[in-house]
Amino acid sequence: MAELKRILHVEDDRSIQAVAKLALETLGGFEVLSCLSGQEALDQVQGFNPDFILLDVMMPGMDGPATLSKLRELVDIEQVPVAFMTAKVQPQEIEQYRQLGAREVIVKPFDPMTLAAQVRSIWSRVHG
Amino acid sequence: MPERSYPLPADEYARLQALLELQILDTPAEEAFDDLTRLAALICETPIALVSLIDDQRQWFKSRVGLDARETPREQAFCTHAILGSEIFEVPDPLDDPRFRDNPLVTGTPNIRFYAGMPVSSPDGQRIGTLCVIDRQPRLLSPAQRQALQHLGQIASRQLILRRQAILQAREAALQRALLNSAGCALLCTDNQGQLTYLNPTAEQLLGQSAKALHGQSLCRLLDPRELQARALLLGLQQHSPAPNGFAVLSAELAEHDTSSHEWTLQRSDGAELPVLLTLSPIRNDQQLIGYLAILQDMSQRQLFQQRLQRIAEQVPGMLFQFIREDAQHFYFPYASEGIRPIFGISPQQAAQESHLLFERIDSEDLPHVRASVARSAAELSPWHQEFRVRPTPNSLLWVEARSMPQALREGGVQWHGFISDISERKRIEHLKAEFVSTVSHELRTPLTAIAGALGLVVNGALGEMPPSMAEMLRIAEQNSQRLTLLINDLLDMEKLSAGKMVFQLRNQPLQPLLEEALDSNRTYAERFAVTLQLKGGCTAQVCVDRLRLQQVLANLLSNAAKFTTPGSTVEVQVTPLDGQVRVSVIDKGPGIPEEFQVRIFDKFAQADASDSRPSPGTGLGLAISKELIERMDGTIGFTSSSQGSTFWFSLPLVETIPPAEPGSD
Repeated sequence: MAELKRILHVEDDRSIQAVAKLALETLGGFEVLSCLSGQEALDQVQGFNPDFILLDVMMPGMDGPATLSKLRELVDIEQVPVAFMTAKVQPQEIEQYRQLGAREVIVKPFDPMTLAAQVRSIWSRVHG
Repeated sequence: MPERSYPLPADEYARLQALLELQILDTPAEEAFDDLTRLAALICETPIALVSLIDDQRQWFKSRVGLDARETPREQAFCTHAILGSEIFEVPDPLDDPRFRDNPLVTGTPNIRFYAGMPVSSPDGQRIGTLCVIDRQPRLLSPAQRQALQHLGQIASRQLILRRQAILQAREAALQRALLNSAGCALLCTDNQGQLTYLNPTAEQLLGQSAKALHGQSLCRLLDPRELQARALLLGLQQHSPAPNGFAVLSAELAEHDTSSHEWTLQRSDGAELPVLLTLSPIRNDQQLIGYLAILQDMSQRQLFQQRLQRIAEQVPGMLFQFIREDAQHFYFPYASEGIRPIFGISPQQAAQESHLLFERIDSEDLPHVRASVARSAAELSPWHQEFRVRPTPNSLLWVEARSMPQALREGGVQWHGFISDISERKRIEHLKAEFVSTVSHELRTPLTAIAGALGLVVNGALGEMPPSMAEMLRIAEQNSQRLTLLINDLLDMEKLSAGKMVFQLRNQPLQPLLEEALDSNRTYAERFAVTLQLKGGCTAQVCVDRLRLQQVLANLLSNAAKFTTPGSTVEVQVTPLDGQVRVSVIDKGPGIPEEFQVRIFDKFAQADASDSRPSPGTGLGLAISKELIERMDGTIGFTSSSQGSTFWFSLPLVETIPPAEPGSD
């Protein structure tokens, strides 16, 4: 059975990046690779070989949904769950993200203390 | 009372009535009747012939030959017997007749020895008298004389018909004179050539001249010759014929219409000019034209009102209008100010005659809403207030706001008076403001996410132990970053609501579990104020709501109550059914809401007394958002407050009530 170890986090804001990385590494015990843009994520994803991908929706240049559609060519998202992180929580948008292939939408501002647990529960739903 | 010695006709009262109506008693002699008595005497070869009329006391002679007396008492009258039948009444010798043997007219002058009377009838058939002949010796009429007397009597009756017609005509004429004299508008009559033949007193007054002075003058002479000339030219052009002149300019249209109405400038003899409406119609007798009737209406007062309205309307931003809707298909604008041009790109005249043009300029997306709101205003007679977009030209788009009051018309349909103004600038600013708030909030959220996240990790010990004073400061920082997050969320919610961008996922669902959920999730918060939350009773009400939005409202009301109630007390939630609605009340035992604050409690950023030292964390947007949310779910929200506590409530329409589970079933 697969094990959740490596998380790829794509987020254009360095501060949020740092908080999430610390929360996931310190409280979850995961290995986190942070990318500042969609392009960087595409460049790194195969080398890093993540078990889980956290993707910010609003990013300059290539946004979250665009990055996801490119990522699908490189990663089997059936095995490697993708979750969006966004402040936009309109119900029809969540549905739209799901149809793009995202497993879950994590609402910003997120609670750093429970972020790791949230990620783990999504992962176990897929690999349960 | 002496005994009556003569017989009465069966309908004596009606007979007397008919006689009086002819207004003939005690009138001077008339040739028409005198000719008849002369002929009767001549033909019947009698010295005496009379037209005798019988009233209740006497017989009175309208015409008499061979007799000096003007009247005799009724009981002596032979004629009073003659009017009992419709044929000639003949008495060959009164001395042989017990009815007349002792009659003073027989025993004394004029010594009647023979009488023959033919009844004379009123137009309605009452025998009111006779044409009779009298001789001083006994005799009989020859058949030819009888026939002649009968005819002469009938001629006398026909004479009475003419008399009645003359009376009726005189009455009619008097009535017409009275009407003409007292009419408030100026009436003038002309002959076929347009020469004045009659003016009523109002016309004399309007023209400043007497009917006598104006008699025979042409009606055209009263009007401005330049206007007449211009009208003549126009008529010539319209009919492709030489321009008419003289009175034909006024009467030209009457070839096709029964009346014609035009405004003219009246020129009075004193030099004054007056705007008038001239309505001309032909007077016909048996299809034969016998002249014209002209009605002049003084328009100076109306012109004054028109100018006043126009000047006021020019100063009003937007357009003023009067709108009539006869039914869903028929409507028009009897009045629209010039301001309609920049808004709808059409003229007031077009709005009056082709109102569909105006509706075609309304943005197609907004048109159904406009129609629906007009229909609603008509049905409820409620004020019409609507904002919508219009396209005065194919390439321009305006936002406008319409406000008007409806009023039901007696003949059916509804009439509105109101105005429409251009609010494009306001809409643009509102849009900018919404954009600004939304952008700023989103921009604020990113750094705040980082701040709150970082502080959360530290405060919760993810990075190890800290000295207590540092932990305290960081806890304050963390709490305030949470507060800032709430504020920004509220701001974004408010903007979404005002812009109509918030999507509601309405679903029929039981109310009770929603209330229980709300109480559960707010208990921890309430405990911070040592407050207990309690749900009173259970209910089966079913409502159509967005679960999350209702939770948001309940959280707001519950946290407010917890904050403001007396510490240590209980906040109660009550559910009461209310005529198709269900009301949820949140009851606290706080000090109540200051009266001066009550009016704006649902306003944005409303918080009681800013200098209040009591800690009341909150954004001031909660109740404003709650109100919007409840109203979007077809509900109402309100409160009552006293020094004993406040109750905030909202009501929602009941969808259906789930029947309570039957006992014994599982």
